[in-house]
Amino acid sequence: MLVSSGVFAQEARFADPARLVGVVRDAESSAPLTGAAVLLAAADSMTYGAATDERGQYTIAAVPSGRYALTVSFLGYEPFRDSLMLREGEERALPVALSPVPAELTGVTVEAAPPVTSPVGLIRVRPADFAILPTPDPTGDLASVLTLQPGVVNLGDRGGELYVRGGLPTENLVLVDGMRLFRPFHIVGFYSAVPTDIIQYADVYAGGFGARYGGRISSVVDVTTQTGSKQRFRGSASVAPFLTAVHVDGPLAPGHVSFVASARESVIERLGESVLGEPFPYRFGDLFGKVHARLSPTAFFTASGLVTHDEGALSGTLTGENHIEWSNAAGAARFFYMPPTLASALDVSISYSDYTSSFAPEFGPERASRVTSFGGEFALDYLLGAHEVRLAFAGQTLLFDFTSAEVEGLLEDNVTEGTAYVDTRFEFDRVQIEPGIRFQFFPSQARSVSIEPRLRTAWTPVRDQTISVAVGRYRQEVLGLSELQDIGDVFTIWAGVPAGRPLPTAVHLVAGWQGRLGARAQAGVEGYIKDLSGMALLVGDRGVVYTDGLVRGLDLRASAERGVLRGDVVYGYSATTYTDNLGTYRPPHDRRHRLGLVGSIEAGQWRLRARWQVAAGGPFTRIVGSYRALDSLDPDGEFLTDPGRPVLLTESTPFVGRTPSYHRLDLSVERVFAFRAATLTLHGSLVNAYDRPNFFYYDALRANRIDQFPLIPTLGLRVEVE
Amino acid sequence: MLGLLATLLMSGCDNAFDPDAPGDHYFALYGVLDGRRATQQIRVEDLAVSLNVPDQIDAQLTVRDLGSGEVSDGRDSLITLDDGERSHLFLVPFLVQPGGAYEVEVTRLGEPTSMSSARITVPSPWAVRVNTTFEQPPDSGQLLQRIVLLDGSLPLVGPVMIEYDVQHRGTGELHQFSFPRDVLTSTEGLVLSIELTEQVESIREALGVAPDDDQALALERVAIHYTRASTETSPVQQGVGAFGWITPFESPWVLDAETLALLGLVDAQGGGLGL
Repeated sequence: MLVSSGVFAQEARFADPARLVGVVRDAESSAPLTGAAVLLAAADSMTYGAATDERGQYTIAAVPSGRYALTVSFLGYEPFRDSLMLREGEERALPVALSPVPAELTGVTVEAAPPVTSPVGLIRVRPADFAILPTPDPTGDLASVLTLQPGVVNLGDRGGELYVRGGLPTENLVLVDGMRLFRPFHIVGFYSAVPTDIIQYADVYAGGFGARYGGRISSVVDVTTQTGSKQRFRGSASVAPFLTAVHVDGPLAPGHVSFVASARESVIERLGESVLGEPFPYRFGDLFGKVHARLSPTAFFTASGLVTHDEGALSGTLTGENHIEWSNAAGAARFFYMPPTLASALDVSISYSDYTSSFAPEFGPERASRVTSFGGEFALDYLLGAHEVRLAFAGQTLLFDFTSAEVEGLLEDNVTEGTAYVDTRFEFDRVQIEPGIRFQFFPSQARSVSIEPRLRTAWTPVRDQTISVAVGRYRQEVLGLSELQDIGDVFTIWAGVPAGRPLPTAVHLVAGWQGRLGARAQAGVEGYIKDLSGMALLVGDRGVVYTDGLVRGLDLRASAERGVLRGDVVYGYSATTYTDNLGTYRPPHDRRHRLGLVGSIEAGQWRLRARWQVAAGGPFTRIVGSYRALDSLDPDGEFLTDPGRPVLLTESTPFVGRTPSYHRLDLSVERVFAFRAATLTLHGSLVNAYDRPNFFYYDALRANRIDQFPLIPTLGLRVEVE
Repeated sequence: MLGLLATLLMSGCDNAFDPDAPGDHYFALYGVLDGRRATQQIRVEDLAVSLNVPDQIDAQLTVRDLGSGEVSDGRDSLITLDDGERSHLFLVPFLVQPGGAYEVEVTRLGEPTSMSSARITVPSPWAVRVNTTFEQPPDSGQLLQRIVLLDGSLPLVGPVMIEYDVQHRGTGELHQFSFPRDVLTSTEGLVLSIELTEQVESIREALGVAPDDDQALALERVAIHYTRASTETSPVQQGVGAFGWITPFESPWVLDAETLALLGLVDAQGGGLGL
């Protein structure tokens, strides 16, 4: 959104007030600063202020004419001070660049607690949030933050699938700089396609997201990456048993154009057996590049590209049975322009994404799936005083190609959709209302227009205490089918919803409270309901099953810090039920309880982190037996040595069994060595510190239980150079 | 919160995982009862065991002849499948007869209720009806006989044979001769045209009997031999799998006195030389 929340705004008293708008950026990298405080202080002690939004933009509206002392401040930067005279009715554009000061690990003084502004359903992740979590290597990853969230379930540390508040992985929209990723997590669950180094911030909507997002019915993860320094080159390299990583950013045209480049590649498949004593048949990596051009103080152009690859076997060897592999290739470009004299902005973007996967099971034919999408969006943002209206038009085409006996001939192989939406934000004294509406058109399928109203609202009765509600209707035109009964089968078929079938639809209702408890603690509670209909599932020999569902849940979170200590507690209760021709049942990702405890200590050059998670077990379909079916009996007896067709017999009532509970402790320690132009970080970690054999899945045809990763000690090294 | 944490922790101590649905676990049975063999082979898989086949399975196999009541016990063996995996093959010595009914039972040792079974019924031979006996060409002395295997149908396994049991009265030796014949289908069954004179002359020549010696050979038996296989399988109860059968059949008929006289054969049908 263009207009930031008015944290300190006072009521306007005079006619023809002035308005101050601008962008606050890092003076070196030109990266916008989110949450910077912009304060106008008048001689009579009246103050007007705002905090910058995710684009670093601020607006202070309804300011009486007069002379003011301007202060712009942000933690870790030299404050900017100036005085200015605002005339009646004047609209002044004032971009500000703040110079960073060297960070100190001790003695950092926070004069005022940062405001709590996150509305319901939204988790805004910043790089600082990664710093409190233990990770198996020095670089950190978005996945570590996501899996900590109470409403997020990952069924195992392999496979790369996250279930957000009862929704399926294929119902999550994951964007990186506008690039749509169909499989955003690596085969080893500690890693997503987005390393920490490139993240500027990530907005995670677990539900109730606004009209600017569509095409998915469960959640949105919207990652905005760093722009790179436009003043100097910076780089880092790290090595650890799981992967190696390199990151470089710097100016292409100093002060104007910068780039970011990042590469990661796994080494665990080579080191696993020799260093850790058991095979790790997984190979993965990612490559990211971005160019950011600042065309003017309020205009920029950016182009990004991302490539990922994954392969492995959840059971077996890297090149043996049950081999799965997938790859993402995506690109996007964006042009943003805010005229200095007009209260509006132009935002144009295009994107392309291609996802390919294949699966060669030990028993059964090979399966393959591919989806290619390309599209664009044209949006206009209008500033109406303290309010904002965004009007946008978008189009997207998706092409599907799949080879799978279970769904052959049942699904659409292409979808074209058009979108128009209005997303608004109205700022009042203590109330923020964001109504929106989204229209989806499907010309290739002759469907009726999908109308999706959305509403987000927040009320701050007193400072730092916010009550918010979000409600909305959501639809998606694509299906992602994975075998529901076999957790170990992570292969997904992407396709369009068959003509004549209704689109998967969800209605979300989310309500919550977040607030600060003193200067050093904050807490929040959030309840949600998702009503689901028309979802498509792949269920064993029953094939495609269309189901309705209901998700109800409650998330609790609290955090506190004192000196060098910080602690976080998150708890989530979530109940998901599906109803279809199989009956009413709980699906495998219905893990009712999740509890996470996180602690971190930063003392001098040392950083200690711990994370303990507990989760209840989930449903599974019990086994009646397995055998080799013979489809014909040759009278001459040749059938006697026929290998047959492996068949798994399951209980007629599905998902009655319960898997064991899960708990795991992860620890990490770092020692930082700061030199003149470089920083060296020694990193050690224990994944699953007390080596608990947590159940992952059961290979019924082989009667083989597969557990999640055992105790894994790691030692890593990271070098940062500037 | 503490209570919830305690509950989660207590449940988290139990890491056991039991994938099996409760109740009896049965077997997969596949076999073709073969009347051409003295020992039957039946493939058995324990559904509770997965595809990793152990050296031994907890199973006992019996076959009961429902006509005679005789019970035959199976003996377990291991075979290697075409993909290198293994399977259990039970060998059961008993003869499969046309018109017989057999019950195959596999029972889990120590769990008599965990039993999978199949009932296989082998049909009786088709009856023969003589339609007509005539000379072809007329007045040539070449006898043909047209017979019908009532309710007979295709497919059959292998050729249809006309079999003669003939005694050389001079030597007292019994000889058997077979001649293949084609069959045609009709609404009544399978139709065969048998060149009696030609076949008997072949027999005389083979035994060195003069063509006009009508006392040298005695016909003890003439029959049609054919092999049939099941066209539908018999299902397995309380388990999975299927059974078929394949058996040789014999449908005899009697040549009348006039025909025998024209063929120059002594009538010994019915079990011996006429006195």
